[in-house]
Amino acid sequence: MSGRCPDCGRSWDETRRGGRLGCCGCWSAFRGELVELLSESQGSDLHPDTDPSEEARRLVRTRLDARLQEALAREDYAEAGRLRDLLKDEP
Amino acid sequence: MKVPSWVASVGTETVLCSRARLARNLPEIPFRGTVSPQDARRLCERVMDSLRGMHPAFSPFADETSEEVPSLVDALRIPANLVDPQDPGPWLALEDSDRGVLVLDGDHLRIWSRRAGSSLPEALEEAAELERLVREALPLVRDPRFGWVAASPADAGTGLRASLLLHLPALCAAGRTLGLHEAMEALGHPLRPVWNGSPDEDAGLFLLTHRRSLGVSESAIVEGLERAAAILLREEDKATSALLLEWSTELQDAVARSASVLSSARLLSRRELSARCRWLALGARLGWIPAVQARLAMEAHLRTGDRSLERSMGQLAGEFEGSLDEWRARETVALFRDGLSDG
Repeated sequence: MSGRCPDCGRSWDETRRGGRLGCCGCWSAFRGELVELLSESQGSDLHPDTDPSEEARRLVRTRLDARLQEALAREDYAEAGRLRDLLKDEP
Repeated sequence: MKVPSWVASVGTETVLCSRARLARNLPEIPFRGTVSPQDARRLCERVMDSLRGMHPAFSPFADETSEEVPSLVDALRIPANLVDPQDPGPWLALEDSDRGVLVLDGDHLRIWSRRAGSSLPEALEEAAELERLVREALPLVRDPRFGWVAASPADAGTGLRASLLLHLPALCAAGRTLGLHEAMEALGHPLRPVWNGSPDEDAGLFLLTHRRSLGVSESAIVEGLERAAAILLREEDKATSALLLEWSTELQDAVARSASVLSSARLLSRRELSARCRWLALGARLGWIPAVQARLAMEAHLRTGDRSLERSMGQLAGEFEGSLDEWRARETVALFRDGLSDG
């Protein structure tokens, strides 16, 4: 068990009780405890390096593409054209 | 009080609103609760300077005594304790009421976007774009193992908290929400009451969110939440059909009675108004009444909450000298009279 965070002085017990860390330095000071806690609560203690902008754009494109396919399937060509333009505008 | 934009979808939609929030933090500054008032103020000034340079539309509020803060508490669902003058922060930077940066909430920065209806990808896209701009202006702390560090371990990894505001009047009427709470919890998607109060007083509104934020991508979180919402939407449709099949006359009676009561009541409890909101939303969805009646009922519910009372009457609910039920009825009847004559 670690003592206190050298940056903010908070102990792991205080963190555990309150559910909150004292500062960014706590993530280093209580690394072992956090690995255990996160493995249990989140099912993982390793995070992939994702970019939220890219992830969001992929989701928006996927959704627009699905709507485009639906519009084409029901032969709604005006809507399909509008969705195709939106897809072109997506970065 | 500014009525949230999602109220326009009450009576027609089940997913009223989508919200994405990204928690980000700066190095060497303690989190709220540990930070000194001086450091808190320095942080706010630093962030505000960066945001001003980044986006001219940002308009920081001067402090927690700003007159606009109470309406934001309602519009953005910011916990009321954030405006406690004894506690430093938060400062708010807003581009508008649907997108912005909340400074010194639980985290140093909470960057959020809110969209009407089922639009989580778009809300995330908007919040992420804002986050990219913030990242260019300020040093944000990312741990190679844990991802974006946050004040709460529950927010580590992506820092994303995505949520959907759902309106489930049929499931409430059928008494099926308790089982669904348990089922969604087991799926890792807690279904929470909106105002942390009694579900009987929440007008059939629920917040659907997610438990995991670390070890998964932002898109996986959004897709998982959308799948969970789809389950609830199907259950809501099934509950509506079952009510129609078994209780059609009673349902029609409850809808008609609710429309009459909210147009003429002299006394109205919070619980009764909440129930009438649910019946009117169901009636509007079934095409029995105009949707404007369901919207007005929800607006009355929002306008006559405890915080609204405090703001409009200058008194806390517990100290109110008159009859709260009488005040609530008066406000509701006036809203219906004005709203229906406008329509």
